[in-house]
Amino acid sequence: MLGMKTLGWSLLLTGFALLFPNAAQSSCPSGNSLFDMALPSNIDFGTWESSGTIATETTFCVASADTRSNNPRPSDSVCPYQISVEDFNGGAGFLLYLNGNTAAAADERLLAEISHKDIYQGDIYELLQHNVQETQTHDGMFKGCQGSPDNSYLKVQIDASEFTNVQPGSYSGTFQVNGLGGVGLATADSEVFSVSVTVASNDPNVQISRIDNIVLGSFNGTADMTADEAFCAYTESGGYRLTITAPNQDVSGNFFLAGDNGDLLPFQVEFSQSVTSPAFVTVGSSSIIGLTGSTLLDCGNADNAVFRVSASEQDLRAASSGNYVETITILMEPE
Amino acid sequence: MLVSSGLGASTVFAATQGSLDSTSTGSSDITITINDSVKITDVDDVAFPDYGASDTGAVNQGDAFCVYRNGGDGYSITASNPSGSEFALVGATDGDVLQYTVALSESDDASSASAISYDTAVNFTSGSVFVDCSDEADGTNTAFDIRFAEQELRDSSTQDYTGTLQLLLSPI
Repeated sequence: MLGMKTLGWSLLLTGFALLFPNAAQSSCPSGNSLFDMALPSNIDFGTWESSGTIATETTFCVASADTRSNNPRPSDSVCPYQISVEDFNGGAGFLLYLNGNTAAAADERLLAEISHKDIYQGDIYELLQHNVQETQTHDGMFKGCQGSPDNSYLKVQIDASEFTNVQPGSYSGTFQVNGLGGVGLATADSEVFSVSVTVASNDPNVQISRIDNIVLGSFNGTADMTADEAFCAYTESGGYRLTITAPNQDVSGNFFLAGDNGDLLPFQVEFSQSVTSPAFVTVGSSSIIGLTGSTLLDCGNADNAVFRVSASEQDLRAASSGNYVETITILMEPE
Repeated sequence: MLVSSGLGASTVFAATQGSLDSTSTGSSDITITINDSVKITDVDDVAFPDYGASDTGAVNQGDAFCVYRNGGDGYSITASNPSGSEFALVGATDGDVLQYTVALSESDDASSASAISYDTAVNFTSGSVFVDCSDEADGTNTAFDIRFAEQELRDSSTQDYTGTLQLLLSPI
């Protein structure tokens, strides 16, 4: 592309730059002004797992010229352009938000750095500030970059320190590139791109497995009904806690089976972290903490925890005839 | 006697195993089937005093009893005479029959009972969810009343009369 520029306007550059250090580096006195920025590609850093500082580039064509022609004549020339980038979500910096929530707390935001360069004009990244025009002025390309590689590069970087105290999860931000170009830097254009990264948790892995359904059977009028379900609770290191919930659980933590007749049948859930010598504790709305799991992923092809469900004889007697079902969900978290 | 009948199998769901991650979630479906269940208890014998020349008018006497129905749901009672085909007592000496009428009430107050037909199911709204009707003030929630018409009594020969009133309780 540099070879396309004429010797004449290259010499003119020297005097022009002395008068306007940040202004045009090319002659672009008049003409059928063109300024057109292509859409930068969105950036997805993938998952950050103690990965240190991360950075990547997105490229796009910036056309800035005194002609709109697809076939510029030798007398046509490219024009200068400048860009700025703003946080499209209104942030004071280039922010990525947990789950895209712009009201996120401080530990749910990541601050990115965005730099810009033109590979045909100095090829030096300039660190941008939110909504502040860059100081470098670049010459653009003719319409559509004429088959040449993209001239404009945006580099997005997130320093390792940003990841130190943020919550794990999916972060995303949206940014708008605002540019001025064409004859007299008088034509504006803007494009929007997004940046996303998933912050992995540093917590040790856990896994619950070997869990089955519980069929209490049919109630025929006498005695409580009880069944146990043993399962495997694996922890990579340390202990774990369990939270057991169900769709029909009330705010007090009481569990209910839902009947196909629309009725609710109370039942109790208990848990023990020992299968061989069970010591059951009643499960409610609170997590069960301070538990010890197996360090074997399959618990040695055995079970090391058990929960018990039971319905009292009187509650069963008071229930209308029908089939009752409830799904209990067991959330295992490391401690 | 506790009577029950099945309603069919529950739908089978698949348990969910947790994945290996910083948190792991498993799930288990719990199913149970409640069958129809009814029970009639606290039924007492009814003994009428002697009826003689100085007595007048019809006589009646009742008994309150307990009806359990799972879920407090509806039930029916069918009254009959297991030794015959009508509501009647049989004389101990000559086998004469002494006919009577029966009334049922969905309360423990026999005096508010309504007459029923022989061997015909009569529906009621709600039984007790307690097998022993312990939620009721007197442990009873239903009553029957037996009535002998004056003329029926005067038509009867002198002797003792006995019989059995059978109450069949069914879920509805």
